[in-house]
Amino acid sequence: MRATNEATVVIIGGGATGTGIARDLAMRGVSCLLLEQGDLCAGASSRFHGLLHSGARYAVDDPEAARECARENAILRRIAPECIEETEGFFVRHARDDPAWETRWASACLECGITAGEIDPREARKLEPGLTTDVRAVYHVPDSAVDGFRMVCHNAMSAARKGAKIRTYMRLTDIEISNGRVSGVWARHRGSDEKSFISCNYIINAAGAWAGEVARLAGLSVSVSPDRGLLLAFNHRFTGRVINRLRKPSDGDIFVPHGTVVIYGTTSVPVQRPDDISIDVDEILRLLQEGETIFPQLRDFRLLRAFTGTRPLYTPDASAGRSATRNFVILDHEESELQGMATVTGGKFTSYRLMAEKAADLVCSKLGVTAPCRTADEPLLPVPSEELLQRARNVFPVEGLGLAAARLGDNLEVAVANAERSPWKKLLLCECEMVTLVEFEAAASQYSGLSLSDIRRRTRIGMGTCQGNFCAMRAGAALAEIENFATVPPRQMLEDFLEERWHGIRPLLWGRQLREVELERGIYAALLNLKGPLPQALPTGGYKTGGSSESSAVARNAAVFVGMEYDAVVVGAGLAGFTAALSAANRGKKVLLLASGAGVIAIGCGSIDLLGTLEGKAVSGDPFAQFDKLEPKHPYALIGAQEVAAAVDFIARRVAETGLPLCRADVGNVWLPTAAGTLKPVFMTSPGMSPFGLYKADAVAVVGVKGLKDFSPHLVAHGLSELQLLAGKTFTPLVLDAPRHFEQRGRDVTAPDIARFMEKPEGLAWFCKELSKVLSPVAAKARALLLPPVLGMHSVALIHKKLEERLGLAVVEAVCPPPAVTGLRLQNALRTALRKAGVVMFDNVTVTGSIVKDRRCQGLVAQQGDIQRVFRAKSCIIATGGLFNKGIATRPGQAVEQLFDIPIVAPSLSEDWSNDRFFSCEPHVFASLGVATNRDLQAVDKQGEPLLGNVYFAGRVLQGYDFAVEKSGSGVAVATGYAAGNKV
Amino acid sequence: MFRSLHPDNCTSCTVCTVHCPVAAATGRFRGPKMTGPAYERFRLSGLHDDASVEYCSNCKNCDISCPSGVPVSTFNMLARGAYHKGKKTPLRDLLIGFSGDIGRLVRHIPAFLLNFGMKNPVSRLALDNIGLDKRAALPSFAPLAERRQLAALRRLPVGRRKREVAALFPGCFISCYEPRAGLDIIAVLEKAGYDIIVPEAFVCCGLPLLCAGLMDAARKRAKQNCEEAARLAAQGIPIISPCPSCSLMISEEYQALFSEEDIGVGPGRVHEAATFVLSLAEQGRLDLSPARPMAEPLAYHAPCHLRALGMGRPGFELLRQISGVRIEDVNAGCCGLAGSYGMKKDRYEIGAQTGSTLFAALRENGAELCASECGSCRTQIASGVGVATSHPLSLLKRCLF
Repeated sequence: MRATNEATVVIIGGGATGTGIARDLAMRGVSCLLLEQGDLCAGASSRFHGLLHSGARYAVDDPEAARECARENAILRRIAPECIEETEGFFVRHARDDPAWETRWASACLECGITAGEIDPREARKLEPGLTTDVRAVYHVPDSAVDGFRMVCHNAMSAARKGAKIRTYMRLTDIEISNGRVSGVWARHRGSDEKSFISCNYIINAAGAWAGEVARLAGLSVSVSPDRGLLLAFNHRFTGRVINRLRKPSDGDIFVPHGTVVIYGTTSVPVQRPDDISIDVDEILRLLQEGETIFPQLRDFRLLRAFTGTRPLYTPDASAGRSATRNFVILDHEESELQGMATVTGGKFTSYRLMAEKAADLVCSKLGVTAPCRTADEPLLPVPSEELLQRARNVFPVEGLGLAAARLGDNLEVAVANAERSPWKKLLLCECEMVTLVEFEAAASQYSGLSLSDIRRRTRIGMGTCQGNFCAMRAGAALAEIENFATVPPRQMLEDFLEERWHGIRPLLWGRQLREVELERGIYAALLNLKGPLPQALPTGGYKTGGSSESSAVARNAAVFVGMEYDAVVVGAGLAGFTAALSAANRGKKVLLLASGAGVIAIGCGSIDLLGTLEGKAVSGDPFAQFDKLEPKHPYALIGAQEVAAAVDFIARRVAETGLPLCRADVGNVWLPTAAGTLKPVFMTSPGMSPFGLYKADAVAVVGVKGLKDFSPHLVAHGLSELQLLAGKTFTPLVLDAPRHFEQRGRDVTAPDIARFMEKPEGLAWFCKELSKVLSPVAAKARALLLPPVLGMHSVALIHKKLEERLGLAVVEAVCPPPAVTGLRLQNALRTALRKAGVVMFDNVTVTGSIVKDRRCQGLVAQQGDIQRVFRAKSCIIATGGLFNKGIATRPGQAVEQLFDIPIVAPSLSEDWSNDRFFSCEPHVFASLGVATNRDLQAVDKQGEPLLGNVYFAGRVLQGYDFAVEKSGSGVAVATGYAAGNKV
Repeated sequence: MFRSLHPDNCTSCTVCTVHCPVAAATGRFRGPKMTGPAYERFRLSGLHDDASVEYCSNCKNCDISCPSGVPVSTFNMLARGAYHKGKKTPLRDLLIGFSGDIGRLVRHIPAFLLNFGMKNPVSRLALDNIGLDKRAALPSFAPLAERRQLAALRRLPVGRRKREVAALFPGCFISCYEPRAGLDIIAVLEKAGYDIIVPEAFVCCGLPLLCAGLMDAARKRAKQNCEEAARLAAQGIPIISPCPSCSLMISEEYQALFSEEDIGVGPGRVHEAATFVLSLAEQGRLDLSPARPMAEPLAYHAPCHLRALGMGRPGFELLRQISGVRIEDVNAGCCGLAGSYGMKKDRYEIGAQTGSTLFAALRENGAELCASECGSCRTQIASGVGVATSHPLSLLKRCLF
């Protein structure tokens, strides 16, 4: 038990109302303490569409609420401008909506004193071009967008400034009552499990949808019905104004632009429990259908995530859903014979301040406090001084200053001072929402340390386009660098963060969002092997010699062809397409390769993985020995181990001929260290990434570069030293100063930047000099150096050798997330190999369809502007990729191969496509969706008959394997590409 | 019309960032993903002050490499236009942006006067002062007679309309600096059975204006070219351009950049000349047997905008099909000049750095003559490596005649 606390008033609930009350009471000089079971604003105050109502929506049904909204709206704009975007709003009537309602609504607005000016629908469409042409009437109203997180956080900051205490992650466990009077509360901290007692004279229950449960602890009954509403977040701001549908309030009426995104909602579903935030895919699809009538392009826009919140509807009369009132109530429990407690519930975000005022008035009257409410007059944040703003201008990019200042509130000064001390911390930790590291640190240093989501709410990290794909690891790294901050290991925090993001992404697994998920699995599951199984012991031995850079026997452009007919057209510029083209060209075929984009080799790890995990276990030793355990439809099983082995040899030879050796270990799989502090299994890799030096060393120095945000030596050292497999080794993080000329840049340092610099003599000199500066006595004992992949872009082997000789240490490059260097090296090597083999390559050709006759492909069709081009060849190899590279197109519950419209067998319910958890050991269903083929890699129908005689499929477009779980992506690409090239 | 250009296809994957030659050369550029789709989300919320967009060279390697089909460079150019709106354009950018118009103004002035006027040390110093780097290679005006000869093909002599007619959109570079190449291309097309006109109504495609942020002026050029294109289309006359950048700008960028009100239904396709000739050869309309041997070995450089057109390397394909021709595609990325990008004082180093890979590859290749479809690539290669350069179709003409 912790020391007893004391406060005159305890407030339960850290949403808008609770923090509003804390601020109000603190400003009146009443000592108060707020308890929140999770983080601030984790309930309905952040789980709504963020509309600051003008009142117009309630004008017909509830004029009282409408007037209230109108008044509060004006107040909040005044006291919290940094939380509000004055977007204005439109009420639009669709041709299908009842004109009579419009008339009623317009006169109701007039009566409530809400300005609703009618404008010509054509004018409105000029202002908001995305609106449908079926708009029949448009009114503009003073709606705005409000940032719920920010409003609550700024209220809490303001309250704290006035002396209120805010305690998060404190779950109320009991209410002490003596002689019919409240005497205190018991609460337990969710992290430490410590219990504490807070004695008080008064309790205000502002627990929102949880208010009923809190009241029960005091033996009271308050009928609050949780009512779930669904909301959708879109990737870009397709409307600049709030758009309300002008009809009787119904589902899917409101679009609110918020910074970079648009939130659309909502629905109203009575639920049993206040924490029921489950999401129903059908509900999403219905909402989209509804929204499409107002924004016809809606389905073409990318959904970022879906989320639900539970409204606390006050339902003493057993009403529910849309019929229940949206008004708030304050229940003085003195009426139920309990002194010293009140419950405030119901209501809406727009009127939170008024609710707080009324609740505080009640408490003050009980306590005999006469100070008046001043929350409507005093701004939430003091205006930052001009001097501070000037300093901030030097720190944040001009365009980002406003954003950062509004998000940071009181923390602005801390962040600015931090950036002045360490200018490299100006780096953008989250590029989608422009969050700098200093902003992250300012938010992180002052809150619970239990969850990255807390920092997300305060900064918006992970809430933009990539949904955490790129910033989650950086955030974990930043936490690893803050000493004594995290109570949870940083890697686990980042895993939990991705799982939390998954909850809102999982219901949207089709189209663009599914592409993003494939990228996410590529990075976190395949590349960084988070949560992947590890072997019992490290492999021993070393790399096989040979297969290295022997000189090429192939003359430059040996293949010269005459005539326009190709033997084979390969579609796809990924590893499968490149291997297929090389393998066909190797057999003297004339090959045309069509590339639409550069594929993902360039952002991969540049190694070849074959099979790293099988049936939830790590594959140690020779992966070929495990092939007989694979399912019969697995691509390896289809083409046979012999062909796979030949493919691996073939690609290693072709790549080595260009000067980039790809080596394999004597034992089979090896585990490479990654930037996330994990180990990742591969079969072949370049010598610079050979991990044996690391395996043999007792002490390892992990070397990063200041500002290189995708490789944090702290995170790596933290992660690796926790691994049982590496027990007994010490990992010392070291950070080098970036090269001088890297200062004064507009962009953060990337691994390719440093790799290019290392190509120059002064690059190597810089590295050695900086390293000698930071080698402490402890670090000097290191026998191996672990680095991000920066040892040059072209002359890797040479630089690696030079550095090892100069330092007398083993030097190992780690696997890094994109934008990394290792993949780029492999891509360059493969392109050189293609050129040498005489493959003709067309960049920027997007094949969109095919001409099929008599079960043969007569040509592949590309649409370019208004002309169609047809590429003809004797055979086609389709290596268009899977869900990410759009070889497979998806819609809810449907998947289809793109070029030949081959239907892909998939569960018809989108819910069945994935597992509950993102990092699940079981493969996700969607991950194995692909084209079914026979042993010749020809697509087959249900009876197993080939659909197309001269078309072969290779790479991720194939079914039957999960590259991220198995760690088999590049292996399958190489093997099937090689096999397909041998068929033509 | 609702602008359907939105950033939703972007997954933030960074493939464009690692393929961007400008980002490779300088840290001052935020990189294509950031200035393009990532910032577009902020621009939609009203933020327009990102000066980093000035660093984009519009080479389009981002578009070419993007696995998601995001028109990254188009976002950048639109953003640059918005960034410049209401700002004063520097004299240098006006000179470069309107270089086509200037070329037209001086069409009756002899080359030696123009070249002396432009290239004497005093002028170079003056130009350097306004931001045109004195180290940068500038193309030279072609002899007056050649410029006049090309321009004279405005219409066909009466009574000659017996064969198929095609229109040549020569582009400013060919018109001012290399009309010889234009005439060579015409000769090749005539050999394949076409009569060629060079319509007077065609003006600069507008790309230099776009790159200078002069969106309104670019729109005006687009409008005029589209009107002429529509007139030709009505007569069934195909348009051919020897310049990949003009072809790309007109065929693809117009529609992405300008609304229907500005340019009507659009210009249709402007055929890149080498692609057009290659397809004539494919159809058997042009015999590729050489009239005389090409003894010297050739190097070939594929311009970025040609690659962006998605037509492969037609000039290279044509030349390597001619028996006896030895040609190697050096395949070493962007030349760094990117139109006029590398001529600007604050961009010269970036351009030189970008081009260094190509220069090294060409030196290693050793050929004395380099073929490339793009005039600005040819200028950069000639000055950076010191080899002779030529349009592939000029070389084709040399072989066939």
